[in-house]
Amino acid sequence: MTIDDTPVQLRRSLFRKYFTALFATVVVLLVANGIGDAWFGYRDQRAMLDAVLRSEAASAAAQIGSFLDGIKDQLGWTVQQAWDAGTEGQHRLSALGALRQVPAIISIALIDAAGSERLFVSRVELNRMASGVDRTADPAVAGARSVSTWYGPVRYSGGSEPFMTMAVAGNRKAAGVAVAEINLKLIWEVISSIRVGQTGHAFVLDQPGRIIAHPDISLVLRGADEQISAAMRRLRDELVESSGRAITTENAAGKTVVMAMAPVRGVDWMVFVEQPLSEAFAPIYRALWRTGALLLVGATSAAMLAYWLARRMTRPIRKLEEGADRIGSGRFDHRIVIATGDELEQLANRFNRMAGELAISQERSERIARLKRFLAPQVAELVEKAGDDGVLSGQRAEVVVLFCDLRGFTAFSAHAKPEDIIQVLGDYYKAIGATITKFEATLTSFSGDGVMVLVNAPVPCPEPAIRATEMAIDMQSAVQGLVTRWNSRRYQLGFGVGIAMGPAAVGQIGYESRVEYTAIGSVVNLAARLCASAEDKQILVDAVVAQALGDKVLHVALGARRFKGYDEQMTVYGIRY
Amino acid sequence: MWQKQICILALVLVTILADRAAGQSAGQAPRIGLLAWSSCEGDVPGGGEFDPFVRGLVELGYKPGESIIIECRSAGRRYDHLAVAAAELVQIPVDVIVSSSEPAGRSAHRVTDKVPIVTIVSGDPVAAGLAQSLAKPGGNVTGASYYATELTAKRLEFLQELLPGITTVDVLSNPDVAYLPFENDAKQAAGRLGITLRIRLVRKPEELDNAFSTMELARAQAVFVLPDLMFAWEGERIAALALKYRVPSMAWGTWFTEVGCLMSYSARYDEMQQRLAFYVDRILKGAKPGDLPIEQPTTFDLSINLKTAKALGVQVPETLLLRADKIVE
Repeated sequence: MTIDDTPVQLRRSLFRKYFTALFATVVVLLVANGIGDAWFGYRDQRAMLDAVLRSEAASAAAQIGSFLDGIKDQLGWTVQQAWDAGTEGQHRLSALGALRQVPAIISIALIDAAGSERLFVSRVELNRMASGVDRTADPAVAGARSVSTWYGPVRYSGGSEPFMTMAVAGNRKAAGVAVAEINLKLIWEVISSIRVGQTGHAFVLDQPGRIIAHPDISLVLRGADEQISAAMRRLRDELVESSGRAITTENAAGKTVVMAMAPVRGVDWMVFVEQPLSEAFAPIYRALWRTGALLLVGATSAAMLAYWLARRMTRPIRKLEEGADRIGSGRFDHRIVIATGDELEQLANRFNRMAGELAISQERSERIARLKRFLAPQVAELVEKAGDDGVLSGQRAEVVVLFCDLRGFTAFSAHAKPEDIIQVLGDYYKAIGATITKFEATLTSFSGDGVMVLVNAPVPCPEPAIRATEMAIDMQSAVQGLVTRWNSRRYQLGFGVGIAMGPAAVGQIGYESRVEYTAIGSVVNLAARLCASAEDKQILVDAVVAQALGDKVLHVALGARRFKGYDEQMTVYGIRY
Repeated sequence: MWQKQICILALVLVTILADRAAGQSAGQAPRIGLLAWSSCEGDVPGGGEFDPFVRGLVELGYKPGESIIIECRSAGRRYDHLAVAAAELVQIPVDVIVSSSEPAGRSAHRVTDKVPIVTIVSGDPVAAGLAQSLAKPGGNVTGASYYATELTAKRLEFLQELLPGITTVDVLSNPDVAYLPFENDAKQAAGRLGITLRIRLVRKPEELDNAFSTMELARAQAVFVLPDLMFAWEGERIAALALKYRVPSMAWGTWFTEVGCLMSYSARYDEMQQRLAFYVDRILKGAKPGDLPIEQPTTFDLSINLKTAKALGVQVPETLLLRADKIVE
């Protein structure tokens, strides 16, 4: 089973999720607030601007109105007296007085009740006394008679200077009418003194849309320019449409301005006030910039904060990730250190415990693996299941030791081909191994053709002598089958077995990883001598084994033999099979 | 070795840059050329004669010598030198020529039709050929009108009102400005008013004495001074002579009554000269002189010197006193 090791693509990393969530929360709130502020601020400022401009327009219109009223009042003085005989001098004085008081009046004509011109005084033209000219048809006279104060249309003298006729009638017909020529340039002083904000100003349009007063007087003195008038009329219409609210538009010079207008009472003039858009909207723009800057600062702070927080949150997770990686790759000694005091710390501790247990389990596996080297697989499994590998520890046990080897192997190996030797050994061990496994005995060592097998150690079994003997019989039958084959190939080989039983010290001997499980004791020597003494097909056992066999396995005494290392002769028994 | 070369290169660069910076700051200040009649004396060149104009410039925010450079050339009180002075101004060169009388304006216009000219004109600039119309002059001349010609009739009327029963008026006229219509205007007005005119031609200040003594011999009832630059600068002398020979005098400028003449009716000359600064400002900011309308005067001042009236034994009528804007006592 292979483990799929390809790393999972991080489609949506946790860090990015946290960061986005935190950042979005703050930023959305900020933006919503900022937009709300900006929108409402704009509306408020706009409304305020409207109100301010309209009031400026109204005030400017009032000032113009006062200017005209001043003239009207002065003219009123000249039609106080009736044109009785002898009043010419007084009328003359009052007319001259009006000229004196009102610089805007260029000339005054006094008309009596019959419509005849009695007096004409002028600053520029020659005066006329009692000219007798009939001015009944004059619209000024007719107008004044009907509406007591009559304002004529604006006309341009010499194509350049704006003039207007004003006519005032006395409170009784006998007082007559005063018709005055007004130089409208003098409104210029009123208009230029009107300031709207820092750079805004006012100007006056008459009914046909001609500029009759403007801080830049050259615009006035250009006379009747139809193009400009048409543009001005358009402006006026726009303002009328907006029903009194200030409009944003381009003025005559092409600059974008905010404009409002107000009518002048008495004449059909309109006073316009304009303020450059940049100045009018300056507070709005400032507020917007402020909001924008704050948003930016806020967003940046939010980003930094979100980044930092997300990092903090995902760091333990990354540690877990790395730790799991390391542990997964076999480093069971790695411990994940997370000290956040929350569920992640608990998880890390569990991981660590798991790593510890994995380490323990790995150790045990290794030990069991080692067991399997010596024990038959079934025994190894048993031991593994029992979980006790102490079976291999050094102890004293009553063991049955079985030695076996091939007769004539030395001679055979002297002149046989190496491949044949290996082949023979391979078949031999296959047969022997199968038997050992079948009888659950422990192969402790083998060298060349000699094999040592232990029964009853490291795992005890019932009736070990009988088991060992039956195993030996099984071995003989298996190997004899091979011998027959070998003999057909002219290998002069045989097989003998020796079995002894007795106390021995069992355990692992060796150093570091080169360790073997074996038995030490005289029983081992005896078994080895018995095997050496056995002929082909023979299974020799000692007296202890013979006694243990009892009636279960046939055996016959073969007399006493003397073995090296033993003082006395021993009775050797052979197994009948 | 190469360090030295770098140093030299740096020095050269710095010098060039400094030179350019200096050149830029000096070259950028516009030049205004004042065409003076009498002299160019003053704190600012021409500041004496053009004092209202310079004040107007300062009010508009200009600093003579810093943001603008004022050049002045004077005709030395000679009509034939006006053209010379104008030509000098054009040579300098200047960005705009300013003059305060029609003869000066005409001289400048003859010398150049490219350099903008801002001037005071006496009457009808259209008839004088300086402009196509008041509303849109069209050429390179603009400025303010003085109404000198229009008011001639009015002045005679005032004289008549002051001295009822006057039949003959002696007129001081300078033949050097015969091309101006003052004489004709006076003659026409006199005809309407029923007055006879006697023209006295005076070309030089020295001739004034002679003219007045001649007038005294001819029993002049009043002397009427026609607008002229030479007369303008001889106000004191004329007033003194008029007083000496006991002749009521009527002039076209308020400064006459201030120095002793009996009466004057004039537009506000100082205000108009100050207004010229506004024109210069617009032109320096890029406006074409042909697009700037020529302004006409809005206010007129009737000025009466009561001291002189008393000295001459003239009874000033009530209506005139009521009408008068300035009374010198």
